[in-house]
Amino acid sequence: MLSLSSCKKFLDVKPESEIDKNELFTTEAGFKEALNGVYLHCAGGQLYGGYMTFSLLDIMAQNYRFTDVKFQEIANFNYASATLISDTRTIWEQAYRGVANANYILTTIDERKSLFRDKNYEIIKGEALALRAYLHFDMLRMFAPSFVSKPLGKAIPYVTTVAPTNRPFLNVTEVLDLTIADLEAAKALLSLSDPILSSGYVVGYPDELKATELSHPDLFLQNRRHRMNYFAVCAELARVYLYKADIEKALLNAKIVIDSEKFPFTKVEDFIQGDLSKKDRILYKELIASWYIPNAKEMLINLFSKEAPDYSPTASQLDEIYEKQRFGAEDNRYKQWFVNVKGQQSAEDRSLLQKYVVNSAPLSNLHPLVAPALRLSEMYYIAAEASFDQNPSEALMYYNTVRRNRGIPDDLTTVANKGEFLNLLLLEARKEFYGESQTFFMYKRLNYAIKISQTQSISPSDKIFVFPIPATELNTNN
Amino acid sequence: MPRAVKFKLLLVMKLTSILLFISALHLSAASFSQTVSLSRKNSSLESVFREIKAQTGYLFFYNEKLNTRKPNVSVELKGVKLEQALDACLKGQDLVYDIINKTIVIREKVPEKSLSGQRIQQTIIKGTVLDPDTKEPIPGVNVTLKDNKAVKTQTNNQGEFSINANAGDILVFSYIGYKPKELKVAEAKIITVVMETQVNSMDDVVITGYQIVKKDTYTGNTITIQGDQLKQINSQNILKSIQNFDPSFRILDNNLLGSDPNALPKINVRGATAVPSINDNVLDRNNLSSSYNLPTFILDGFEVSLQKITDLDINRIASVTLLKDAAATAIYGSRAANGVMVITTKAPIPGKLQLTYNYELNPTAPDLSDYNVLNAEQKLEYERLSGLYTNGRNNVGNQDDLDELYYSKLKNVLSGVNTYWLSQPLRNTYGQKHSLYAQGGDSTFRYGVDLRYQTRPGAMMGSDRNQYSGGMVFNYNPTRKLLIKNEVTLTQVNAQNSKYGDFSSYVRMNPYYPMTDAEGNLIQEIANWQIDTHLDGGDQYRTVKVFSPLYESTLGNFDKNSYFEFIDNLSADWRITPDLRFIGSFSFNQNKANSDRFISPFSNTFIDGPTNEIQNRGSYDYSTTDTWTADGTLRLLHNKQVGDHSFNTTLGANGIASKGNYKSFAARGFSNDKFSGIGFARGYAENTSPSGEVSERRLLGFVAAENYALKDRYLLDASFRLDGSSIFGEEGRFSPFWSLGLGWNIHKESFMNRLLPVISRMRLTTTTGFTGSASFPAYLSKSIYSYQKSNWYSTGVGAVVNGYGNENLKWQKTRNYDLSLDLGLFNDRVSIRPVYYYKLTEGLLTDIDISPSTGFTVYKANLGDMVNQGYEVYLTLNAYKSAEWNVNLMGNLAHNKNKVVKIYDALQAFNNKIDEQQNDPDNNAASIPMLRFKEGQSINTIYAVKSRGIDPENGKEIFEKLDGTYTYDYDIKDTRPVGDETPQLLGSMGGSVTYKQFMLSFSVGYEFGGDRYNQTLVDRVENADPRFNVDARALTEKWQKPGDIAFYKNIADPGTYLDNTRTSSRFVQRYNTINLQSVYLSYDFKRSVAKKLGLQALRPSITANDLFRSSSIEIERGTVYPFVRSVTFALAATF
Repeated sequence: MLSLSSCKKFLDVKPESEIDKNELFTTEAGFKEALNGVYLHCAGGQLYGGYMTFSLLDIMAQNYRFTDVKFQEIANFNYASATLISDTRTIWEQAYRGVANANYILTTIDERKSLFRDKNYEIIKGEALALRAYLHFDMLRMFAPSFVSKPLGKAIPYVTTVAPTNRPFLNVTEVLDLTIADLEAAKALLSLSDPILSSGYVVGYPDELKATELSHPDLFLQNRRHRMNYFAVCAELARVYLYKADIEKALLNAKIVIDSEKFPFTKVEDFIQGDLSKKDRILYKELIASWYIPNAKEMLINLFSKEAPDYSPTASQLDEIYEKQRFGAEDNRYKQWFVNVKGQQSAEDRSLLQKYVVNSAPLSNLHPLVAPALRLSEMYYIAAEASFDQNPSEALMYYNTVRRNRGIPDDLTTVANKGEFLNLLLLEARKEFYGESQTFFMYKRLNYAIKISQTQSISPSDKIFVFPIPATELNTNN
Repeated sequence: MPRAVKFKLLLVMKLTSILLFISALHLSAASFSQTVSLSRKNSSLESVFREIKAQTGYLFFYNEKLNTRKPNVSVELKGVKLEQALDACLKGQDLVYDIINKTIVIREKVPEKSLSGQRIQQTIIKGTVLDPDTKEPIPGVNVTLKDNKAVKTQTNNQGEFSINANAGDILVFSYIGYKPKELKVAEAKIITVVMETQVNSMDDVVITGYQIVKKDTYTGNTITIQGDQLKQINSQNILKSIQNFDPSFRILDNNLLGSDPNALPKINVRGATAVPSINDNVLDRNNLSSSYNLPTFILDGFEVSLQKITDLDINRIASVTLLKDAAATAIYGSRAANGVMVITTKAPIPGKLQLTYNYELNPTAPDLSDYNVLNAEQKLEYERLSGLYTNGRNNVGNQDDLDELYYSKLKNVLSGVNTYWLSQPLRNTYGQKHSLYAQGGDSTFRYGVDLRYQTRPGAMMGSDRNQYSGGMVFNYNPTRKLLIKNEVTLTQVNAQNSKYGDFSSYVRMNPYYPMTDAEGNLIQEIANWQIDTHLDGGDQYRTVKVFSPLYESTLGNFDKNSYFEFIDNLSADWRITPDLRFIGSFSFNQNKANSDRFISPFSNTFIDGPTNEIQNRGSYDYSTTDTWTADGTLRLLHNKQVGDHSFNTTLGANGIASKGNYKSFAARGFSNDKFSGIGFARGYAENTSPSGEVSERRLLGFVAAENYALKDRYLLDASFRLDGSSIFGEEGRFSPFWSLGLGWNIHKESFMNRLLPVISRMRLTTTTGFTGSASFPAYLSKSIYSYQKSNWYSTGVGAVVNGYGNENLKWQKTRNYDLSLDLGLFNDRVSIRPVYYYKLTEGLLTDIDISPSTGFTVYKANLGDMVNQGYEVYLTLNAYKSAEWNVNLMGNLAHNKNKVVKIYDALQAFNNKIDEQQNDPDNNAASIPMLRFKEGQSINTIYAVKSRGIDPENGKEIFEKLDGTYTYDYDIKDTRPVGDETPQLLGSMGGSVTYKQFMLSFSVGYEFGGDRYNQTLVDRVENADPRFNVDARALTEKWQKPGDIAFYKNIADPGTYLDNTRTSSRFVQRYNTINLQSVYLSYDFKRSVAKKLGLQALRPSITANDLFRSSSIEIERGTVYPFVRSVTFALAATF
């Protein structure tokens, strides 16, 4: 009769539209697919292709005005509201699922090192480490007190293994150290391998003649800026070090990105371009890293730019944010990113965000639809903040460089003290990161009051800055 | 005697006995009516034989040592009988002949003497053989001597025979359909023999799919039903019919889909053994126990789907055997936990070509007796009372507007508009079935061909299910040791769903709405309502349009699906020695299914869509599923009687591989109704891409089973199966299952003799064993990556992990205990069989919650235990029997109690999730009781918040909190068990009466003592939206003013959006029901009458199903698709 081994073989069924983990990781291609999978997951609608970039955090930065109670509750930091409970739970679950996906790669890759050609081992491992750190750092920034407020406060689990068993909650400093360790390891690996470091890699729009982002014969090594490339890791390190108040290392890493001159500021003519198919709405070349979200078009229209979108500022609110009286007239962001819509009946005029608009067919777009992850301007802001103590004029230079590139000619020449400078920086950041969810983190990191309007603000406290850990986690992991 | 002669004689005897044996087995009905015309001079016997063969089709059989070439035959015959012709030809040849079946055996004449050598005076016995019922002669009956099978004859057309016999010899009469009869030759030379009808030859054996065991010595708990019995109960629905014979086989009420011909039933046997996971459709309570708790269906030895059984032609069924306890099912190992249903189809019978034709006409009528809606006048009054026209309530506009609205409707009512919407999409139908079966052949080659055409129109206009099937089977015995069988079946089923939509949308339509406008055209948008949603922002006021569901029927919509199935079963049965058989069988099953659904761009679905999307209106959804299954079994059967010991041993191996390939895509954008072909679509549905899924699973099992009996009294059954399945991880892939059964045939003990015939049968059996179930998705045990094929990242295709695979996942095992007593009284005229069982399912496969920081929220593990215990009693009674009358009564009852005995914290988390689901208004689940788990409760427990009724002061409901205090505020956390759907008793009773050629049988189903959550009271009375039509009780029984003692809340609390009543114990009601499942009447034409019509048999019959039903609760049944009552007129004719 049948031998035992042929029985086993008979019963070993390989799924076709799916693949067993053990099978996937037997080839280099499998590792590549798994890594693309982590990016896809992160770019999904419940993480950076949605909630993490376009909704909660940006609402909390008081960038919109709502009539709908559901959204107003988010703006009011009502963490007990059903929407916030379910949205934060989703984010928590999805972020850790991303971590698990990265960990599947990281727990296997070292024993399969011989599978890899060229520098692919370094690239894949480096990126997976960077993704793991990136996700953990954002969970830390949401669900734990800030480093400034409680460096030893209870934070989150930092997960590096693959198993259905509980991981302990660590404190803020411990999580930051693990994040930094992963990022530094990633930086070391990518510094040896990332094609973006080659002088032949030229950042640009896909159809631009001199851009080479799509010229690598291996699809996997194209579009480095849609992935955790070497500079993205440096930029993230700058972010993390600054969060940990290590300004020296924050400056060092921010300067690696700035000084590489890899990422040119967007030309004004591209920004204000009248021909829609040649218009750069998102300042594409300045993105150090971004999430590729071609399918988010519908969602973004509903959120920002349809007739009565979910999120929109009133015209006067926007005027305030962009300091219309002082600089707004020249600020291209104010002029290009918003369209004014007359309010119906007695309602106020609204300004609709155009940052994520995609041209309707048959018009093409200058650049793919992406969700920004790390921007060049943030490096300038970090450099400005980190160098102010040592070299205030250099700090002002960084500050003014971004402003000039946005069309504001009047430089800031003097500033009384760091506190005032940070306030000015915060005003700029809010304009720059509108609809990108970074401003909230800045308030939190600095422990500054969140401005609602000229006269109103929400005073800083852990009550508003710390998202409650979802009940599903606390129920099973305490 | 010379040696050569003796040898020849023995040879001939041997051959004839074989032939006799075969003809006795298959029982030909040939009679000698052929005539022969022959004119020969000095021809050889050989050529004469050839000529006779050509004329009659009869074969000649003789020893080749006979010299048949001698040209010494001279005959002159014209239209004489075969016998006469043979007599003439063989005259003077020293040869004699026998006609056996359709074969003429020629042998040398030997001196007449008995085998023992003793010469005894021989006499010729003559007689007539009669049918017991009709008292008519039976032609073609085989008559032999028991001790000398060489002496034999057959009855002629008048049922007469003559045979040489000695006094004291025993004559044996045999014929198909009758019990063999023995008769001792006495003085009388002319005798009359009345045969005894053999009701069912298969009554004596149990077919388990692997073994064929004598019922008398088998300890497994089984129920066997013959095909004809099934047909009598319900010829349209095999499963419903089975339910009638075994109350533990339950088809769960499908209150939604009613009598939809395209809906699959939900079944469980002896309670549920599996729990659902949170990701399944938890909203559909019925769904929970359906797919997980289905029994395994085995058709002619091979596993098939439930769909195959529901589409099977009932005329093809020879028998159905339900295997229930461990001893019977353990041979199916991992598939056995929910019982096994073994179906065998009819095998061809040799003989002349025989044609059987069955016709059925099945008129049906929708049953709306459970619906009680308001008429136009009452409805408007209800609207007024519920405050729709009182300013400040749940409406929009000032009092003048509302008054105007009211009076415009009143005008409609007064002008006589009173539309009965319920009947609009319904029709009376009649389904038809033609089924034809042809069979024939000889002992070496037999064949059967069947064809069927069946239409099953449904009560909703346009819905139907048409089935075409055809098959061919042949049995080939190249040698007596080998039997090769092959059966091919082709089935085509075309199903269509009604384009009238859900029946519930008609029930909800207000009677004061007219159907047509002044010109007589159907109206699309009949009315609209302004609603205040109390939501802030732009959504506060909403216009809800009321579209006529009838309008949809005028469009080109369609929703149809079809499948084509090819099955080939091949088997070879090798009888190595008389005791030892080796059987190899193989089945290949291929099924191609398509589904096409088109919704017109003019449909109500699209009419309110955004205007910039007009070009994308109209949708076409297409899917196709291609499945194949290969199933092979090898078996070694050994049957041996050694002294008092009888052994029946089975060894087998079984492998199954199946693969399903599903593909689908959705197209959007049609210009109009006419061009509904998918080629006219403008493009794919936005953000979609073609999808596909391939699923594959394999099973490998090794079986050993022993059925042992000592002196036919002490019985032992043991079986073992080792099953391996591809869905488990490498660690737990193989798992053993076993069973043990003990039995005692007390009635065979000598001390029971004095109790005869009062206690004619008494058997005690007990069995135990482990069975399993594995009906859950493949690949749970592995960490699986799925490819995001339709959604590439800019740097290539990505794969993401679906979840943590549990490599240690084990089979879910059920421990069975069974005890039964089989009692026959008064020569088995009364038979009672009580059965008790206990099933403990351990290691229920459940989702357990894990902390999300691990990356996933659930994980499958074997946690939790569940018990099903119960009893069944079967009773049959042969109440009266005489020459013309035969009255049989039967009854059965069953009780099953399901209990969750152990749950883990994880299942508590399941309950919390259900709470959350019910709290979320988007789920529309707030007022539907959903499954929860609590130790000590059953899986059928109804969970809701305990209600103390309606406060007469204010019409508000008072709830009791878990701590016993009262409150007006509903809190989902106060949910507790408030009832149990498990009936105390259920079963059926029936009987059959035969009088001469008439037969009447009936069957009544009953169920007592369970609870039901009366969803009608909640949805259609309590929470009924007054803007739509409601159950009549909403008008009359709601609280209206302080002091009213009412069952329902305040009539002026219109149940829209905000203040719906949620799950409350108030709506739990005791459910008792009795249902006249079937009444059957048939008439068998006398053989002689049938003959005159050129037929062998003719039987017209009528079956009426679900004629009468009575229930203790008033609930709307068949909400999406109504129930029907049906009658079947059938005609069965054999040519």
